[in-house]
Amino acid sequence: MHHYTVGNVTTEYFTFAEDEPFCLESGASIGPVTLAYETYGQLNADRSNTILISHALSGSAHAAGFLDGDVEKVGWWDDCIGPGKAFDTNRFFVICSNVVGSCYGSTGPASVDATTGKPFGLSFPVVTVGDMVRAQEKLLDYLGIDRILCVAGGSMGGMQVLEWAAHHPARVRAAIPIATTAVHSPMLIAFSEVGRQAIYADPAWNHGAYYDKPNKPDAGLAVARMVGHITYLSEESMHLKFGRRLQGMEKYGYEFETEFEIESYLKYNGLKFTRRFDANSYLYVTKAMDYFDLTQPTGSLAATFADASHVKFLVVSFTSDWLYPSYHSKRLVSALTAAGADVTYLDVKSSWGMMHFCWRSIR
Amino acid sequence: MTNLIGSFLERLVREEGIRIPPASTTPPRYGAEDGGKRTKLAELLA
Repeated sequence: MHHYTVGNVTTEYFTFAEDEPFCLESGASIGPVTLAYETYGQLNADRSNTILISHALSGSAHAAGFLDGDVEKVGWWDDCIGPGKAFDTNRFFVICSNVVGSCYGSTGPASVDATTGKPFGLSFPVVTVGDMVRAQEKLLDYLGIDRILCVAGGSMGGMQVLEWAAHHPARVRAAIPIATTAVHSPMLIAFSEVGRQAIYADPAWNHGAYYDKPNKPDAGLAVARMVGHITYLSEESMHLKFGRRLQGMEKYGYEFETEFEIESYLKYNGLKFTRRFDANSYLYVTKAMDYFDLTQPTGSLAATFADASHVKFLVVSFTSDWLYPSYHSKRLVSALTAAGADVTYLDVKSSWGMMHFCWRSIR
Repeated sequence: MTNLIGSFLERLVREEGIRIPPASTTPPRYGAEDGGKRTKLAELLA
């Protein structure tokens, strides 16, 4: 296995909708809109070697290399993007863009509303995965790329991949949706809602108006992340990684302090998340995922991909992923095949749940 | 999984007739610290 890197990288920014607002699926509009993005490798002469990487819920544009030369800031999918890696930057021009609604440089609820001079908070319009992809389309237009060779991503990144193939098929030659779904299921919506309720219940959330306050809704956001982390693991992986081991003690304390390793792990990850993510963005991005349903408006997934018969698909799922169980991908494969697309499907035997995908990438 | 992605892209390049930039034209911006040569991650982290 190669362990090479693209080296030092910087995040760049593209702003559009400065004159005409960007119209959203909800009917609302917003402008201007900024997207943070990074690129690796070189665009070839006929601009045909572009790979677009889509990130998951809490990901960013920083997918590979060392951000601003800091070796501690390794890209979230550095294991797969770089010279000699799966997405070989000696061969491909790789783009990763932060989604609209996020908090890593793209316009989102933490951004300043030019009309008020204050952060949007809940006045930021609700966005969808479709909106995220149409914003990325503006970025491709700006970069002068008519057609991407391949779009790839996992979880919510996989939803963007499918959105590209379904609704912008003329701009896509191939697609790699990983550990994802074409329809956000009731169970997935339920987990999203538990996370959102945890944030709402935090008094510091203050209906989304906390940016100028000394306290942020960290407690709520941490619980939301803890719930999320449970879904990224599998029962088997919890047995393997933590078992019933105690954290720093040999016997039960018969109290409510952190006792089990799994408790400590979840608390640590919840706390760590509050240092890098915005609670309002969590609300908006999870809501975007909940709205995702490619069976609409016809009710037929195959009909949605009717214009994508020329797209080559590599669909990947993981056997122990209970957030996006393999049957979601199998249903997708059936629909794509019915639509006449060239589909390769891999159901990876794994004990690690969706964490197999996001072991290095952060969901 | 990564091997399969690599194979899938390899097939795509072949079937779509994608022209790959020669390695020598890789911009020095990426990996500039070692003149654009491949850099072992472990060395940079050491």
